[in-house]
Amino acid sequence: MSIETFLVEDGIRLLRASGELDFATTEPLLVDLSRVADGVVGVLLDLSAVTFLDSAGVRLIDRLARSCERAGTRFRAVAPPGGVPRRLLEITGLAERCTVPDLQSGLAALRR
Amino acid sequence: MDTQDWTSAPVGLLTLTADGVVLEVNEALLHWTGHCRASVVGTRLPELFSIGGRMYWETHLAPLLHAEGRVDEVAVELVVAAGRLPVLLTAVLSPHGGTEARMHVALSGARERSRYERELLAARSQADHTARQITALHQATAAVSAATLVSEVAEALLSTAAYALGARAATVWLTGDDGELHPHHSDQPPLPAPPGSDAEAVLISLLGRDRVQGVLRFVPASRTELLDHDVLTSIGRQAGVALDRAHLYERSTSVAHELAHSLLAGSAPKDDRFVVAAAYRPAVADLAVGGDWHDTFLLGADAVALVVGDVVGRGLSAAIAMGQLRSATRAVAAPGRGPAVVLAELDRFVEQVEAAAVATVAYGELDLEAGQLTYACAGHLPPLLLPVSAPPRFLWEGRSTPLGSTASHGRVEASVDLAPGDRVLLYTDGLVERRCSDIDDRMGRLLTVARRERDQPLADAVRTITDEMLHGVTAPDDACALLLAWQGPHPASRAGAG
Repeated sequence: MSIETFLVEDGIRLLRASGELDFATTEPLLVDLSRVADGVVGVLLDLSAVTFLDSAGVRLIDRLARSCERAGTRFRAVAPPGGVPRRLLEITGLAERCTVPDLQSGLAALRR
Repeated sequence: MDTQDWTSAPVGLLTLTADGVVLEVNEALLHWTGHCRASVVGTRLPELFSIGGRMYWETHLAPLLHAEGRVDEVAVELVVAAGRLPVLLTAVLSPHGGTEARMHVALSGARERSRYERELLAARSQADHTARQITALHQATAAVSAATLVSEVAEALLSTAAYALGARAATVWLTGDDGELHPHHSDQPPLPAPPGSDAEAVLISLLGRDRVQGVLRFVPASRTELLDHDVLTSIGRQAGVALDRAHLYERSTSVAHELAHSLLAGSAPKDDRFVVAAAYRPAVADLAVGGDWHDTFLLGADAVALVVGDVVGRGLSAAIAMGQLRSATRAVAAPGRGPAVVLAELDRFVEQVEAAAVATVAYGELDLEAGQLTYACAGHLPPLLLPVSAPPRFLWEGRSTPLGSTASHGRVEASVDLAPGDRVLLYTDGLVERRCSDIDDRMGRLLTVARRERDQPLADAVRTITDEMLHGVTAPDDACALLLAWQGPHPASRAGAG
């Protein structure tokens, strides 16, 4: 599992996750990502390359969303329909709140 | 050589006939031995030797002299007035053959050399002895430090006694909770116990930090093999410390175990109108519980609540949060409140308990008279309904986000009517999520297995379902399943209704 961070246009931070988002990999990240919303207007978490997601991964996404909410920053997660992360976010009920099908619509949603 | 030189040479010199009779002897040798010339001349040389020397002469030296013509620096002992005198013998046979042949013998004192040799031998045996001690200490230390439990330390001591201390009999006595010494009963008797009052027995006290943790009693195979006092004391100390540690470990694990079990404590309520069975598989086997939980409790006289939940994470911290959330669920549930309200209350609870955030819960209330199941899932996988007379199906209604998550605005619930004999399965994601499989495939698999087990006794069914779903899972998450069957209303109300 890895998460790469990029600053893209207009103060939007892109986090690109890949591999398995599970308990073992997300626990250390919870600390690292606490300031992710600082200094930007939007955070976009790209889950397209994530191959496995469990409840700990869901917690990570929720934490990110919460950090952004507290900072007044918009948050979206890119989870293509039919993919592993999308299905789990649907089951846990988080999908409709914050997921977008691809990067373009994610950026568009944050720019608004 | 000059006669004077011969006589006063600093070595013993003799001339012998071919068969060893002394013809001539010098002063030095007479001086060493204290014999007078008359008693030496005319006797055979070996008569001056110790018995061993005599035998050596007859069996080895004489034949060698006749075959090779000489022998060099052979150690023999002369019998002298003061005891024995070690000497080195060098002899040559003169080249004349027959009866005229002469043997010229020189004996040089070997007292210094033999002392040196004795010292060398002693030093070597001391080194051997020290090496044995160190090896024994190492073996004992390695054996007792590898042991975890008290009984394992005792076994390690017994094997140490056998292999490192060379004991032919041994017992370990351990200090019990009463402060008295009790013999440790070995599972595999490697050595007989030492007889009761054997004066040969060695006792080592196993001295812990605050008290004597026990005694090792053994009979060494031989006295000479016995290790030094210091080494035995060290072994005793090592074992004592190992026993301290083992006692501490046993106490703390039993505390952890009891605490862990208490988190899932409480037996299912007894009521003729339903039957319930659960299976629980913690990811961390040593801990007995994890972040998953199940619960069944009565709500008033005619309803039962069924809960399965999953706190994020594994291990002790997840288990603690789980215990709190489980209690909180019991506390906020009340007759007439309904699942949506219970979940909303739990949202407020997890705001205070960070570790329980984003926990998922499936919560249902079954009306035991009417058979109506009202349920709600907070980010949790859907319950599986197993009707008597219809195919099984997942209950996809009543869904909302995990507890305390950002999106948890508005909890919803749904209802389904059960017929007597219908079953409902609640479970956690550990039962269905696998890295290499699609979640929908896995839920399909659960449906198939649960349908096949539909008519098995409840406890067997839930165990079989869990076993099959977890078969071959290498890095498991916590997994838990709760299966409940509604048996129908009370006979009295049934009669009333009919």
